[in-house]
Amino acid sequence: MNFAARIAFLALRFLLGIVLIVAGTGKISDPAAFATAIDHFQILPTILIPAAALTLPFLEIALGGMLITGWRLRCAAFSTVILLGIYTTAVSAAVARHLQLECDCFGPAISAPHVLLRDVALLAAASVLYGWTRLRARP
Amino acid sequence: MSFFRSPIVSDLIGFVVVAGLSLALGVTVNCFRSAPLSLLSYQGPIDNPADGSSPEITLPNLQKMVGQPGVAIIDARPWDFFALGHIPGAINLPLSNLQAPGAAVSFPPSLVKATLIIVYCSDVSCPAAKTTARLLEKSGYRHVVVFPGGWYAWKKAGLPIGYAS
Repeated sequence: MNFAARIAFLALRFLLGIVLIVAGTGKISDPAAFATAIDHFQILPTILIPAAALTLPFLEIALGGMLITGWRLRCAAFSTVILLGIYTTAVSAAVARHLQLECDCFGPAISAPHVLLRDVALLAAASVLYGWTRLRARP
Repeated sequence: MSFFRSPIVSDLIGFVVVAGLSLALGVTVNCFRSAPLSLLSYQGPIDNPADGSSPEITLPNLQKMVGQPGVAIIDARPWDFFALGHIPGAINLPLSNLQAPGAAVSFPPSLVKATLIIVYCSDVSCPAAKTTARLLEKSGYRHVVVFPGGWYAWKKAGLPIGYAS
């Protein structure tokens, strides 16, 4: 990997890592509010909502930490693709069904199409990162 | 065993392990919270009105909440109305007491531990429930919801009645 590619790779890791940590920290303090936010997507059965509300913030912070430190990087990049894939699917379904979303997942509340656009961009970044880690691992 | 050595499968296993550890950590941390999220008795969404006022709860959801641990129900009507009948388990907190001139806003200490506070008054036309909910939110209480139908809707549905002892 040449110098420019190395910098781009690091930038991608840090960008995704910081976004995940910021997002996870925002949700961690108030699981009840996050549970209500998940509920508004009308995707998960009620019985699974508390478990999801308790798991996702820690998962985001853990993956963010792994991306930044580089520990098990390929696995972290893959997991980030899955996580963002789930979020993007959830937001797309909500946009398609014209649901009112009450989720200020990354700071101030923004409209659902904007959330979708942001999630697609993050998913693309994570996919590039995962592809990169797979290429790098190839002998 | 080459199946487990394929990168995509090992990455998938890695994801399951990290997600499982996050769940374990989330549940453990939840046990130590002052207001833990109930894993088994979560009752579904609270409807948020778009106009920025306190969220509202429907009668079927309110029925499920009565008697649940961590749920506080506040009757914002004057004491004499409360004495004639109220939602079982409700605490009487007349708005007139909170708004009395020179009165410091003080709420019952039992509210501190509540994970959900439901406020109601007579019916859809009375403003006491919404005002009390706003005062609670201003005082730092979270997860305050209003039951807009109030006492009238509860009584009309033929639900159990609590009386002041």
